[in-house]
Amino acid sequence: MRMRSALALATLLVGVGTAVSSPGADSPSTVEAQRRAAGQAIYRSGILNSGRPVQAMVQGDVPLSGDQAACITCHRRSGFGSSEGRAIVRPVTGDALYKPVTLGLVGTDNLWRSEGEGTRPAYTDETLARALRTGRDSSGSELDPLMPRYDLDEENVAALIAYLKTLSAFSSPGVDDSTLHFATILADGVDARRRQGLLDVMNAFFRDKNAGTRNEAGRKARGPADMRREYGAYRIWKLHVWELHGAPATWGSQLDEHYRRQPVFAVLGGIAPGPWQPIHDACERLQVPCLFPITDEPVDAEEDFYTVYFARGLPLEAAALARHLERTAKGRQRRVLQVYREGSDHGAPPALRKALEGNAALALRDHALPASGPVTAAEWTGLLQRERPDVLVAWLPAADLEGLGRSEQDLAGVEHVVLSVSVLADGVGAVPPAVRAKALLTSPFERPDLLDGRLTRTRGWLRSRKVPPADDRVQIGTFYVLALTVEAMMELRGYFSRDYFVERIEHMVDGMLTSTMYPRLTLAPGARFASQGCYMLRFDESEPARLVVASDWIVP
Amino acid sequence: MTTPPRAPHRSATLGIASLLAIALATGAFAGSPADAPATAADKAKPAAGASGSSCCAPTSGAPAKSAVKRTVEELSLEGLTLVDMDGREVALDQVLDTKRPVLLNFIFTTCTTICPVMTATFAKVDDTLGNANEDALLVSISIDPERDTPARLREYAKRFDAGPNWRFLTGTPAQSEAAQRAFGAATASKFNHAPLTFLRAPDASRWVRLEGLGGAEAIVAEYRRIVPEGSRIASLEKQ
Repeated sequence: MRMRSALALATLLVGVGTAVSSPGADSPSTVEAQRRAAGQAIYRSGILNSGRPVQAMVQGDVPLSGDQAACITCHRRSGFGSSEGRAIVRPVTGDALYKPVTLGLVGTDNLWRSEGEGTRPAYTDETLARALRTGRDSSGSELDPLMPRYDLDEENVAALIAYLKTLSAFSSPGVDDSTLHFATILADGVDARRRQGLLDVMNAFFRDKNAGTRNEAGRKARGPADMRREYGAYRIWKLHVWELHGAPATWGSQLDEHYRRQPVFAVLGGIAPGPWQPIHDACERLQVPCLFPITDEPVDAEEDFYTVYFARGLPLEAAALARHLERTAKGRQRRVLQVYREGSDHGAPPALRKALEGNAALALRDHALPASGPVTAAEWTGLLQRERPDVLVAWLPAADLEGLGRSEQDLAGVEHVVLSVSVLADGVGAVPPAVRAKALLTSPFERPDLLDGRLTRTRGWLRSRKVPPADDRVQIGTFYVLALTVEAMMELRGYFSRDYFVERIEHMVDGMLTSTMYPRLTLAPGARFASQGCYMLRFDESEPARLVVASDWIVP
Repeated sequence: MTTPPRAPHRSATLGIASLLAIALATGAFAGSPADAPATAADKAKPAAGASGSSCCAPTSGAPAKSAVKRTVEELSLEGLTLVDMDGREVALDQVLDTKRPVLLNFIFTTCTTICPVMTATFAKVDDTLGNANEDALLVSISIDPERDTPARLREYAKRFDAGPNWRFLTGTPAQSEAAQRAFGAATASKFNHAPLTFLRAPDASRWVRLEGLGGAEAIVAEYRRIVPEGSRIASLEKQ
């Protein structure tokens, strides 16, 4: 993280140097921009302009240094602050600091005080510098001991103050006085049913939301002056469907073009086959939050800020499988064969290789099937006779398994055929009976016996809005991200900052009542995967066969 | 995550300064003094130089707003299991079955507001006690156990320069929650967790529970109550 921030600073400084080269290297605007960049390095990384870590004292006697003392830790990237337990971290945006805190119309007494406890005058550069160094606020009162007292010289304190003045000073793009723009992403190659399933939920939700907003807009126009902030935050939500065509390598520039035409405040959900990387990278570059896309191949880069995922996807399933096989090995040597399509050697296969690397008891071999075309029974028989695996791992959809187990000999020596519930999707029922008997399935979702109960509420909503049932994972996930966004927008209280939005989501997910396909979602500052584990499932003996758990919740 | 440069908190001068500050502050400790006898620390004489003139020198006296609530509790830790930094399942009562004094808290490694301060405070307490040749056992239990894997805890420990006498524990959500419940520390969301520190004297069964962020001095002061300097036989049973 440190390295990254230092790099970011270097880039910023270079950027500053080149972008404003015409007015001269030490023109006032260049100096000011460099000062802000230096302030940002203190704020985000706790690094002084000398490159040394900032020093501070918290709670009276606990020394902090460098990133431990960075302002971002508590006040967050947006500067709007946070809370934890009973600790309240106040906003430190220039807008908040350079305005007085008065007690407005409190209670029924129409109390209005601009002095005394709970109030402070607007900060000046001098009083703000004093607060940072000695913990005395603009009224002369002592700040909470949880606020560190910083050892900052004139130059560094000026840099930090210059940065605070610009922090979250403007609303993020994608919002105007009347409208909040959101996008969802659909790429070529997404199954038509899933695609329609996503759009149906989105459209029904936006319709409902905006039906309510008509009255909200009325209150906004006629509401009492002292409640203007609450009512002023209402906006009509507008959905933009960003379609991506052709090669994933071109998605980035397509997204730039979509964004250029209409910037959005956030990307909600979405589906794309294969790695989410090109979309992840574009959202990071454009600084657009991208919430809970439906993907099996998220980007494992928690140091990035803007994209938040349900789970770590197929790499997590592969790692959990490795853990399960290790636990159940009981000292036996086992041959593991993983089979996948050529060109899809990303996601699960490399993750399983990595997890089993150097594991002598579980010897892993790979077999890549041709990129397309059916897999015949003869091919399966040939492969299994040649390899004779104890565990066959097939990262394949049900259609590719049709020929497997046709010959009785195929699976005679095989202990488990490992499949993925995420890869099979709605093809779970199409797994051939011979395979079913030996199937072990990785599933990042809630236990099958508990899942239906958890989804009742959302399904009720979908039914009442006449949304035709399609793919659970898509529809439940899409509903969740929309419900979460409604609550997060309320928590923003009209401060339309994308960074603040992501910070509220980090804080809120643990307490959300809307359920998902996953047993438990939790986030935390900087965490980008909300669910951490995986079950192993098997088919039971009932007819039609049902999935039941075959392991504990495995957190690899 | 990278390891930040070492905080200067291990420097001998600062250590001594804070010890003195602690001695100064003990009498003003925010807990109710009525339920505990005077200890050696209460009688320590203040010395000059405890608080410097720089912004970052330790301030003398307990910070005004951080009143720490002190209670003494009998806790049952039977049957609680957790997972240590090496991924081994351990019984909590066995981890705590020691002749050493114990300090324990609940944290999560991605926490931004309270935990970094609590952990830095533990580091400072560890230093302070280390300087006094103590051998207290420090235990930090994760309340976000799925994310705080043993590997992640090892990184976190390294970040705060934790020595071998400081153990970080995790487990399944159920294991962590059971431990939180046993200590009366469970909350519905990890973002609502309170700053709690628990202390136990050698051979004692009762725990002192401190609620609030009092700085290292509050914890060391409490430690000195239950383990007076030079004595290792104090016990809460006798209070």
